[in-house]
Amino acid sequence: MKRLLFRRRTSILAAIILSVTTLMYAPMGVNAATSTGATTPTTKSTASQATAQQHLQNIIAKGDQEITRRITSLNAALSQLNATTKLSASDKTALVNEINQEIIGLTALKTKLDAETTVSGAITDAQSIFNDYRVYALLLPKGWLIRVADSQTVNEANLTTLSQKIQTRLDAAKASGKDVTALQNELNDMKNNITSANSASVGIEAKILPLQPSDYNSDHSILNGYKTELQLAHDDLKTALSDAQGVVTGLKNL
Amino acid sequence: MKQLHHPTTEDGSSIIHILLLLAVIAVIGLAGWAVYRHRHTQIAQTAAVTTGSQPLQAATSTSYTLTPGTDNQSLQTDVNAASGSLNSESQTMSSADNALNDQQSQIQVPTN
Repeated sequence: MKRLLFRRRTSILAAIILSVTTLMYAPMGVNAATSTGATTPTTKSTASQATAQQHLQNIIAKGDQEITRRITSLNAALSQLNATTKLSASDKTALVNEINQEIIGLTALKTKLDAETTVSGAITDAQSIFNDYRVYALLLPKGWLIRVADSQTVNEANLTTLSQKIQTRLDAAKASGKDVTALQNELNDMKNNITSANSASVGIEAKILPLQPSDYNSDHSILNGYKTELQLAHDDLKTALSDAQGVVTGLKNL
Repeated sequence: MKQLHHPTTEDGSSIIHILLLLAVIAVIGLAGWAVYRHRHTQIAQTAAVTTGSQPLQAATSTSYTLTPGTDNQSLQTDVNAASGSLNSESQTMSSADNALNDQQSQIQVPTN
């Protein structure tokens, strides 16, 4: 009798486990089917189609949002570039053209995405926003780095001219019998730092400018090395400026 | 002997029944965790999509021309101008840094 009771209770509990498991996992099963585009018979098929349609609309809405955000950022970058004074004319033209091409491409992509009728097509378009344009990952950082490089070219040239002017003053002071040994050493350090900065930053924009989304897709850290070089050059220029200030102060006290 | 094989408590339920009850609780817990994880992933993907670039800063002119003289005042003016230009370059460098860090955020394609 006890064994019979035990068997009944066991059967009831087993049924409860089976029911709970089925109830809990059934909704996820539907989602999984819709996400892979699989079809299920009868009522599940209708539900799956409705879910797929909602899925499609979500992708289009978010894709449009991402495209619009990028176009806004690109237009802001265009304004920035046009207002920049240190960017060389050739670099400016190249960047403006590239940005305009991206805006045209993204606008066309938005039209294509909006017209998609399948989830797989919409996902492909959405992936294209990132993989084929790389607005935030490559283009905008690239523009900033080129601006830094061009700025350094200008600063290196001006600091070189300043060092020559300071040298003229030191030579005159030395000719008049002043001891300028310490100041000359500081000026030499200034010149060395300008040379070091120049060797790091020279031609760097020529390397950055041709980079395309496919280059970034192959190597996500492709810009990091250039940024490090520019940072080193920037630090050298700051040291050179500090040297210049030191020598000028020393000249005032002679 | 029967009691040895199927030990029961005072109210008649066996240890096996308790184990089965624990199994039910475990199944419910696992299912709840699976649902939570599924939804959490969706939220994370949506949040990732909203991450974006730092707003571009206003352009600042960094060009300058050196003075023609070599007297103390002229040299100091040149140093000050160079200092301003390098400060501006620092800002541009910072913007480049922000833009580069921005690329680290993995933006995912929305899937729901």
